[in-house]
Amino acid sequence: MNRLFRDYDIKPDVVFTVGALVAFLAAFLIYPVLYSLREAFFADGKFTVEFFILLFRNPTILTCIVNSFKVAVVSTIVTMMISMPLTWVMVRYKFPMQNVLGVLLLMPLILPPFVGAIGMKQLLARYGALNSLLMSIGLMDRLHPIDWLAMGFWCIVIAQALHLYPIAYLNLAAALSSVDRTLEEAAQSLGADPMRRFLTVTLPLMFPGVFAACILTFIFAFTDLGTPLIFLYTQVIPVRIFSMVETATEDPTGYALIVLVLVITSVLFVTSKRLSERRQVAVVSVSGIVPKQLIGLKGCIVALIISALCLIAIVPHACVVLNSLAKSWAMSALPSEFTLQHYEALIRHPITTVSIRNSFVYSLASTSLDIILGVALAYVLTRRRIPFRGLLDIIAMMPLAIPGVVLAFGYVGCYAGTVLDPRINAAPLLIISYAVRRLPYSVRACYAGFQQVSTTLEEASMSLGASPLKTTVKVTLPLIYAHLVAGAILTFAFAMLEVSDSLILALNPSNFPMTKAIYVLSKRVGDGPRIASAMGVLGMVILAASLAAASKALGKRFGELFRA
Amino acid sequence: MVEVKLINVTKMFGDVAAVDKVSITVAPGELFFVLGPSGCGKTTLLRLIAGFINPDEGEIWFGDRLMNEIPAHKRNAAMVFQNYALFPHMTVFENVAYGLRLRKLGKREIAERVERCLELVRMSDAKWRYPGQLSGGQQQRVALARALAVQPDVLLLDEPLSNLDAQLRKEMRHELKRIHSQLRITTIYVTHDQKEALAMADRIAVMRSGRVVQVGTPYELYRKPSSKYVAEFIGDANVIEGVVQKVKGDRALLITPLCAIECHCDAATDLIEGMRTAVAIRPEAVQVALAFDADIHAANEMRAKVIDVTYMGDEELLELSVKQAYGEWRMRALRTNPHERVLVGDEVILKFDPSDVILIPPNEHDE
Repeated sequence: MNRLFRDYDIKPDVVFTVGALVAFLAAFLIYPVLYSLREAFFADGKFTVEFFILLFRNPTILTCIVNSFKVAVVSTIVTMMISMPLTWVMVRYKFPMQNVLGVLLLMPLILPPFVGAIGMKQLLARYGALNSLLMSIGLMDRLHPIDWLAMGFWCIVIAQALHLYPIAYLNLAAALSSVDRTLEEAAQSLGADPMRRFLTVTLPLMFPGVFAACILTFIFAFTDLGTPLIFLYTQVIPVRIFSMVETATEDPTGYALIVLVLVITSVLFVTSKRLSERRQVAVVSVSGIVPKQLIGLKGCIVALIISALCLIAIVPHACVVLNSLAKSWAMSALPSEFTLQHYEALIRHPITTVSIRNSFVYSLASTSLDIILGVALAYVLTRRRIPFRGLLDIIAMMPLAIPGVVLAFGYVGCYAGTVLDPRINAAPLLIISYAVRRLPYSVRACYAGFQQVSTTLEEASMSLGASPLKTTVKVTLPLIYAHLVAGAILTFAFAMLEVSDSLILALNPSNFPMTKAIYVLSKRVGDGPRIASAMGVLGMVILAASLAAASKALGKRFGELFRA
Repeated sequence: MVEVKLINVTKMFGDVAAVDKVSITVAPGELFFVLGPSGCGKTTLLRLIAGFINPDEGEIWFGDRLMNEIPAHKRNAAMVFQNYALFPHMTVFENVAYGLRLRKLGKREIAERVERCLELVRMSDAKWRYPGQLSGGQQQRVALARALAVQPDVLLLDEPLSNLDAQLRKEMRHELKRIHSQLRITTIYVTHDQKEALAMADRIAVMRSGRVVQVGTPYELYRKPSSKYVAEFIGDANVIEGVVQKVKGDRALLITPLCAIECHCDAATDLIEGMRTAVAIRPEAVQVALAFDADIHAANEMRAKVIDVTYMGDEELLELSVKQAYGEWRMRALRTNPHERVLVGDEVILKFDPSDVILIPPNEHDE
């Protein structure tokens, strides 16, 4: 016991902070997961794998599992095929317009792919913009247009790849720039040609980063609910889970499916984490090794190709914008008449006004919650000696491995019939789920901040008579302000556009956040998709403004927030 | 063994010539040093020879092959890097075998050659360790073994000892010399450490702001520096400016503000009476006499006052002030095996032999 007091800071403030944190994480992170596990493995108090057998006997579910893997694998491959060469030229070469393109490349981040999917649907419909264009220039028979949307699989892959390549690129770029260039030169001086150099030295050294990028992409694609829903590609796991929400309390195979997803994502995530921690080599910058200048035609071609990529990547966004402004848009490449009436509808329509208000309230609440949790966690992790520090750290990072569908489904199950029942009032659980899902980002931002502030400053403050709490508020927090602001803005922005939790938890129209409203509206005939598009544009504007503000607060280290 | 020849090699970084019209010839099997302060372009020169960068002008020859357009991996010029650049994801064995595998040698032969090279650098025991588990000195040995394993035509060393502590550095100097005399590979060694260069080199090229200012053996550079810069960079020097008063055969007399200086001059240096020039006198060539009351009449003698003493046991460096009618000058004298103590404030007489006076060619001394 004495030892415990000697080795750790067992003081009221620490006990209270850690206690509160543990209670919160236990209730809203651990419990739902354990609950899902129990429901999946136990029937009438006895251990059973029957539900899994049922799961694998069900041909529909098997198709879903296969499809989900296919979507995720192909999306990952396509994403890597875009981001790998992109990373190489962006990191290793200098060419015209590079800085501008570097920003434009990140554009797709500002829109959840399912909103982009609404735009793509408009573009690719049987008598949509693309076919109309092809018909008008005589490349397509008017009577037999190609039904692109019938290829739902590829539509999903494209929508996801166009959204995910910036995240993969940021991860790969970080990995590539951390490879010591003299190692490549050493290989070269020993006789390795460029391809050998890449395969034997560069790639192995950046492998953890490559793997992390693949895993992030894979997990996102594997658990993406919104995009398949919009493209009506329903035979995938997330959609299946979504359709099981109604019967969550009765049908245990739903939990079995949840557990399956959880196992896959956790294994991948932990593997990636292990890899990146295994080898950390200090980077030595050697003078004289600078990115190669691509001049003349070569440079222009590279700039052109990347511009084309940016252009293609924002086509879905552009379609959403056009759609939101179109009075009618069919049988023509561009809308025939423009109107602002859909934006007017945003203020008039009951679903939209309520959902916009809801989104702001929920996001602000979850952001505040995340700041408090993030600061508290980062504080005890960096500044206090506590028992099971590593475990707390792992738990705080767990949400990264837990997909939104899994957590939301767990919430529905374990909080049904309580005061938090989402069927009665989803607001508290929505706020909490947003907060939990973004907690790792918030903790990381605060953690980085705390690590940068020298403890001697705090010691100085305390030696002058300030209490630990006062020191944190007066000295530490002002110093990590930039990190806090950036973390908060991002938490807010992503909460505004969180898809799977919103779709699953918001069961009652009075609780709809924007994303759920967009989804519901997009399924309505008539003006629905256009009003949904107008909301999508609003979402884009909010997210773009938030990201701009966050990058301003963080400066160059902005990319760190998107890394695994 | 191959000759390395650079002809008018120039490399620009922006508007700055990092390497400026450098021409040097390194004889086959020679241990050739490139010496200069940081930023003088010596590493850039080495990277040009390695082929990591291409010259804007000039030619680089290995023997009778023009290397300008040949990429680094086809030059067979292995380099040892300042940070060693060992592949962290490979064991010592794999690091050393890397170049051999690229050359598609048989498994057996690779194992043998790796073994031989590791033995040469005395690292056989560490074969299965990873670079992260080795000390700086051990990493440096492995880096050398890796470069030697491919039997390069040219071995390039970029400040290989600069990350080691003083003791280890001395030890490695011997090791490198031993290995070089055993293998006789044409070696180009870049360093800023003049002691390292003097102790090890067959010949040295001294660089300054991208240019080679003098090439010669350690003895030549020390005894006959061609400029004030070289005189002060290699070893220490008291540089005194003056006017030539008389030239007679191989003797010249200079008038300087400190004292009249008599020195040797060879016929090649065309000294003209009345011209301004400079001389350098090494601190260890300055003799210190404690008998202050002795008369001074000869050339190469002056009175001075001790203003600082750095005692190093085997030797003692004196900082001296020489007061004359026109002002005050500083001199440094190095006394070896000092048994009579000299204290700050002591007045002494300084003398030096005419053969110890280094005449700096007139065109160079104003740099």
